[in-house]
Amino acid sequence: MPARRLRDHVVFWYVLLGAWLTAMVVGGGYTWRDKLTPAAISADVPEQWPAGTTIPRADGLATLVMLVHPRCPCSRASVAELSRLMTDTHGRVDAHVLVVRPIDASEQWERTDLWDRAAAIPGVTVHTDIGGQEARLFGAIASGHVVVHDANGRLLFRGGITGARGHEGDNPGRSQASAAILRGLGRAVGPTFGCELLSAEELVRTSDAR
Amino acid sequence: MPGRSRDAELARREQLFGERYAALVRRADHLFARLMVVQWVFGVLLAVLLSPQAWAGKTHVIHHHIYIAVVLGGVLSAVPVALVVLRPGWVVTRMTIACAQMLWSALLIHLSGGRIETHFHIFVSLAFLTVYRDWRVFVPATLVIVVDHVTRQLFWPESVFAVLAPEPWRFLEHTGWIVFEEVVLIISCIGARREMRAAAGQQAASEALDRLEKEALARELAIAASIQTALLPRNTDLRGLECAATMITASSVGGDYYEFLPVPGGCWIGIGDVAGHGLQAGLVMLQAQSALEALILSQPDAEPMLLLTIANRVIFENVRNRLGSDAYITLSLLRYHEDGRIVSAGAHEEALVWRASSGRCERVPVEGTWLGVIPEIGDATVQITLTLEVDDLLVLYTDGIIEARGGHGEIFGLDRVAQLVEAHAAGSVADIRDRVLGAVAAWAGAVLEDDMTIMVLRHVGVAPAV
Repeated sequence: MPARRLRDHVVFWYVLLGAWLTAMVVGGGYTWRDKLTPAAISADVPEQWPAGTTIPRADGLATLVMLVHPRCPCSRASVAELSRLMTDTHGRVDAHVLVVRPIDASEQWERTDLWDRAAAIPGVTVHTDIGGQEARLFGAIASGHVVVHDANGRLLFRGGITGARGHEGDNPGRSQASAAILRGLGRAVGPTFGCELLSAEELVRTSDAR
Repeated sequence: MPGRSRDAELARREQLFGERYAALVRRADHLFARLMVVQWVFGVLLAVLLSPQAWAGKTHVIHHHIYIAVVLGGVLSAVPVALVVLRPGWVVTRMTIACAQMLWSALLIHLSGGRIETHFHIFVSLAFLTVYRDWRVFVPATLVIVVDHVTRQLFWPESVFAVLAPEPWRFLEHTGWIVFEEVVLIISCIGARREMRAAAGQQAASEALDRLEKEALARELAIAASIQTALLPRNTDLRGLECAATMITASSVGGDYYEFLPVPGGCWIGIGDVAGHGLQAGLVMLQAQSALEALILSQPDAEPMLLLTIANRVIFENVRNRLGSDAYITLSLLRYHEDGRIVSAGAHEEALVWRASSGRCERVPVEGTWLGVIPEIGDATVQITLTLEVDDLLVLYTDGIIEARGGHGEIFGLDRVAQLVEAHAAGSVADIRDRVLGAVAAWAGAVLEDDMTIMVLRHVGVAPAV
């Protein structure tokens, strides 16, 4: 039987194993690329604390704002990194997590486990951002986007605080955000890894609503 | 030769070890095949639970993790499973499984978002691989880990080292911990294989000993059988009697005995069975035969009861006191007179007498005791007398004839012997003997559990002297 002969043929298995290893390398490369491809960055991030925001800026302290999509699985890592950042900065920052709710979404749509995780971090206040209006003001497009402003409202850091999509662990973004808070080092930019806060249609509707 | 038997024992050890190790590897292969499927299902569940969808506002699509878990995880598990199903036990199969297990560690770490706890999968997997008891499986596993770490050190160090700028040798620290575990596991594997080989060696030695014992037993049985058959009477040309007798020895049980000893005016006939088997039974029978023949030749006209009583003293002394054995003999000793009169003593099986006048068989009961059990049997020994008319038949046998068991467990029995004798009494004594033996053999099948002895004697009388 040909199938039986093929099964017993060592060369067949070596060829198959070669193809398998190649598939693993290619698949690994794909997953790696997927993991390390950041979301788009808005060019419209204000250098000063935005005037129209309802988020209060702390007196004498840096203020951190993180914008998240409530259902973005990658943002769990962002919130986990925020927790580490808050621990590292020892109360030197006032943090706000803005959970974006699309304009036509139902009440409580944004109340997910991500909300609860963020709310559980000491020093963090969680807000609903209906229609992503605050996100627009802070120039955020992707979930996990963080901005840090100093006590004078000057932008010190913008970008993500995870090293890859949905990946916890030390990373340049968190280190830069931490340095900005602790030492006032400014104008650092890090890649953001996360879902889009609003779809293109929702961005248009939000813009029209304004 | 000792050298050759040692070589054979070593070869047997390696054969046993090879068989057992092959079975162990196949079991391990199938264990890992199931683990591959479980890991795939777990990876898919992990992706579904942690990252089912990617979002943009209220719209969502299936997350890449789902595709990665289903497709990449599926391919990752499929080839090792195919190898286990189609090439179990092959060294390449377990090498591939080792690689796949490490790649599963990487994939699960990826799907769990780099959770530090998921990294335990690497160390657990290495420990799992010890079920193969083959240190070589750690080579591909380690290579996968090293390649992964070096690549990450170069391009994305924080994904594995949790710091942004690890020292250039940092991957060596991680690899060092892996090697640390593997050294212990490899030592464990080598030790386990050594124990397996030692166990195989013990079994090979035990088998060799068994074989030697069986060969010794076979030699002993052959000697015993030669003693039994060598002592059987050659001369069956007896005045006044036609006789046919046969003893068939079983493979492991021996001790049957029969005797014809012509004397003036008739002959002596003996039939018996030594309890026990092997060489010892043969020796006991030899003693009984020697003692009886000596007694008969010295006192040819003595009463059977007297000769039995004296023979018992000799047998008891030799068997009990000198050999230290508990063997005994069931024996009937008969003195045949040419006029058809028979005087019998001893406790063997009932005799069958076929009467020409009636065409039927009679059973002649025996009373008395066995030889070699007690030192004096005079009081317990009974002597009986019966008379054969011309053409009457006397049939003597041992228990191997009547206690032969059929496939259904039923014994052949004396009634069937009697029916055969009655049916074929008109034939020659040899024909009657052969028909009984044939019927018993057919009844018992191929396996002969006990010796079988049968003696068929026809009283033909002696023509008066002219």
